[in-house]
Amino acid sequence: MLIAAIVLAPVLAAALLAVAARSGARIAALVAAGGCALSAGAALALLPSALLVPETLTVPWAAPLGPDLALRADAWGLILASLVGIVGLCITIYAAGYLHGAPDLPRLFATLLVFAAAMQLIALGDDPWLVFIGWELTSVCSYLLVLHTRRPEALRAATTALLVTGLGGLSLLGGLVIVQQITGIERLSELPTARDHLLAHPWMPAALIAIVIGCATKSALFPFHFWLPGAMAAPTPISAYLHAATMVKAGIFLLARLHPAFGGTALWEALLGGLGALTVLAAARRLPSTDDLKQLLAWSTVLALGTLAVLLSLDGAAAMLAVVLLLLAHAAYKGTLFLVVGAIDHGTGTRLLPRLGGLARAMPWTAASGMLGAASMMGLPPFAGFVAKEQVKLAEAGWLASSTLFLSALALVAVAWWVGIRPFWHRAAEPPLAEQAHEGGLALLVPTLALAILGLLFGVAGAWIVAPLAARAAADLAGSAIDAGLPILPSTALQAASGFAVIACGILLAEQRERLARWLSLLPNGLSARLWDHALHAALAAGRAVVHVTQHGDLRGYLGVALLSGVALAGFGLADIAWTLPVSQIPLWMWPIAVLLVAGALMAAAARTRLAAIAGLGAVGYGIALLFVSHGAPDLAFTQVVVETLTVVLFVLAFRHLPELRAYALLERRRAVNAVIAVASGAAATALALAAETGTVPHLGDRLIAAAWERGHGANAVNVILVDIRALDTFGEITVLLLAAIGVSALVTAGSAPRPLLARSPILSAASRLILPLATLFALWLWWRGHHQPGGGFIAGLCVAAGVVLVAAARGGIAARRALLAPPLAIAASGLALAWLAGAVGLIAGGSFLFPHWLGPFGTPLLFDLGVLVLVLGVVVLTVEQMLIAEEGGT
Amino acid sequence: MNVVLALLVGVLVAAGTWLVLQPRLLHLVLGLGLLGHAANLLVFAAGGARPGIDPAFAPGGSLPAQAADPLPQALILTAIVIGFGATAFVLGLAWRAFRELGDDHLPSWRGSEPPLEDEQTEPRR
Repeated sequence: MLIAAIVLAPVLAAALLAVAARSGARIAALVAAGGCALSAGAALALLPSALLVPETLTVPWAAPLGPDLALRADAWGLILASLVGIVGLCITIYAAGYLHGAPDLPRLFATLLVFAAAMQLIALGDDPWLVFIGWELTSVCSYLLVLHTRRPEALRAATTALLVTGLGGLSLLGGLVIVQQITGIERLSELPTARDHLLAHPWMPAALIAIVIGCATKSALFPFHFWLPGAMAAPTPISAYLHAATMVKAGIFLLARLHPAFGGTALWEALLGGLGALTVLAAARRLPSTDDLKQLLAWSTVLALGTLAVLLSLDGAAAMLAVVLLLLAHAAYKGTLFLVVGAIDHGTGTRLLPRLGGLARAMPWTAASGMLGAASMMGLPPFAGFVAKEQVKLAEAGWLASSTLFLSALALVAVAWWVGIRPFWHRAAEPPLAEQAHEGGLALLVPTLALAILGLLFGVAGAWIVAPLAARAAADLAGSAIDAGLPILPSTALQAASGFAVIACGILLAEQRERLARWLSLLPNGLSARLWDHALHAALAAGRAVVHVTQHGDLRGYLGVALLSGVALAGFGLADIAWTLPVSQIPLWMWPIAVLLVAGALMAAAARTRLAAIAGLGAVGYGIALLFVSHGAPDLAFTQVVVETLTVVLFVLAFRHLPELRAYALLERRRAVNAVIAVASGAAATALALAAETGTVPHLGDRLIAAAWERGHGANAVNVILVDIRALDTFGEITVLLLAAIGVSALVTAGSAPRPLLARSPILSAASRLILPLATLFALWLWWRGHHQPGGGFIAGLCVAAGVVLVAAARGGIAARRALLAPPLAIAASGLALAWLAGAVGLIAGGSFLFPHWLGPFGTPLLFDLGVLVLVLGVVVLTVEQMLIAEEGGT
Repeated sequence: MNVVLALLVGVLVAAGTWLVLQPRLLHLVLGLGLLGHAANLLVFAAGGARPGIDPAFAPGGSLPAQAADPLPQALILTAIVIGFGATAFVLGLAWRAFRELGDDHLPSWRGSEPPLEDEQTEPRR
């Protein structure tokens, strides 16, 4: 389970930090370092197995959908995983010293750990979607980490980086989906087996281009390279970790993983070779004119990533081995130099190259680290950079790739000179600055030196430790074996001479920095960044224009569009229905009900006074109750009558606070449009109702009634459905009801000016005292018999509520509250608790929530129904009373 | 076949739609009430309701000859009660909105929402 530990160790450490958020920066750093160290240790311990049979782990977590938590520790994945762990360990220690006293350090470390875990998912994930999740997580973590300083330019840079890499992530997802659809494979490691099928498919170019775009955004390849220098607004240790050693490598890493599937095709070579060369050119053009050491390193990272892309475009195991070695060497020396720059910044307060010089005396250990890092970057033996550079020479490259690689080698030498050598050994430009400079303490020195020595070790011990692993990774990536006898020292005099010649040329060029900058300023600069800015602003402007047109704020406009769309959809769906309308005998008694409904609807629509409108609405409600009772639905009729009564009361109470229906002026045209929309909606609804009978929908009614009796022990099928068959649904609905009531009580707060009360009638007042107990008894009876005859919790609750509302109407809301003995909200909540209790009994006794459990005539559905009763009572009383109390001016 | 029910659904939807398209808050609330009724009746009609049919009861376990379908009834029963809750909520909302804004004319409420965030923070360039 070591493979799981690689990913889980940082996650658990982050969780620990979240729990102990106030533990202070020192402990947070320790926890973070521990998480990284465990992750690195697990990765290193797995290295031997990667040479034989890679360890795998598969945990299905969304089985029907396909994606699994599938990890696979092959050589290439473990190389990145080890880097993430080891560099992460150095970085956390360094950050503890560098950011000492900065705010929110535990949060920074927690984000860093989540980032590390996400990187390990990219490194080890075998499921494409798992890799994608890690990919997106690293983008988000990078955003949060760049933003940590909260400076405005950091916000801008972080947003640009997030947008670029986020859009690239979408592109990558699209590409992966196409590949998955073409090949049908679920594991990245199986992709090479589907190579022939994949390459023959007409959609292959689309998939490849989408994936390359995604990887190019992540790895800052042209034309997306501009976000990386901007991201230097992050604290230096963060930049060293994310934007040099690990995250920006993710694109290159994934492209290398896909090399066995796509490598060797013309499109692959053209895309990666072209983008890589342009990236190298764009970066090289910026290097001499960049004064800030950190920006300089960022551009040199862009340069290195372009170089890696060029190498990836080549075919053969030698080029792949060069990719592996260069990635390793780059992580070590670039990490070192970033930390050196951080130490310079810490010790002098500036990172500007022209101001620095002569720091070797004041900062000897940093100078030593800088020298080691620069030596590796230049490619001096026996450093890792030398090993990588020699292998790059062995790659079978064409003239374009070769010249790009040569330019890159020269530029790397120059950057190494500027960053690692010049600030320490050049004559001091500002002597006071050099004299006041100081070392930053052990927390800064040890990780810097450790990374520098790591670069030396990769070189010296390369032949024994790195070689077999790198060879295995290169063989996997190339699809053909390679024998890696890595050199530590140049083997021939010619080799040595050519190597030193390149270094000498680079240093000579580096000394001509100002002149180079002048010449290069003739070339165009920052085109893609400007293009991106224009595109972004165009997109925002377009978005605002769309919002301006569609989000006009006129409710009737929205409704009109929605209603007409609904009508169109209904028409579209009903277009090819074979209408069969055998009109059956319409009973005579239907006509008065129909007339009542139509009259009520028209009255509500055309009323000039509030009371007339409410009366019209009430007439419709009672008419529908009559329809229910005459169509075999007594439960519905009962419920409808009580609800309608309460609704009318509610309307009357609320409308007293609202103004009279004033005459309104509508344009004739608007009235006509409204009328058309209204009639069309009505026609569509009628058509829907008729169409529902035209099809051959199976009626489950008889089976449900039988099931209700046999398994639900109830003769009233409607009630059994509510409290047993669909009890979970009912549970959700009563919860919604409670939420609505809470909403009403939040909206209608007491405190409006006292208004005249309802006219008090002594007869009504006296009667209400009598009616409430009777209503309660009646409700209990309804509840008890509801399982077999018309009744049930909903109706019963409404009955009691009606009694309470009568008390409220007769004697005021405060009297009603006294009659209830408890606040209505508490009553409603206890109703929900009762329903939940019934569900819990089912869970314990029957194995699933709300499973019915019977003991003679008593069963949990009855308890559930009692909960419904109590909840409905509480909810109705709460809403009605709230309106009343508001009217009485508060208690 | 319940042509009458279907036609009634149409009338209710038309009247409700007419009301929600009016510029006054009160009409909007009334229209929502009518549309709620219409929706219940639509489910009822579409669920195969017929005049004079027997309720969905099986007293003593014996099925009636022609029983109504209990499923749409169960759906509608909760919908009626939820409809009450929704009506109460809308009334509360209307009450509060009128008190805060002092007007029940919907078009004049335009602009009472705070502007979009990016309109506030977008730097002028």
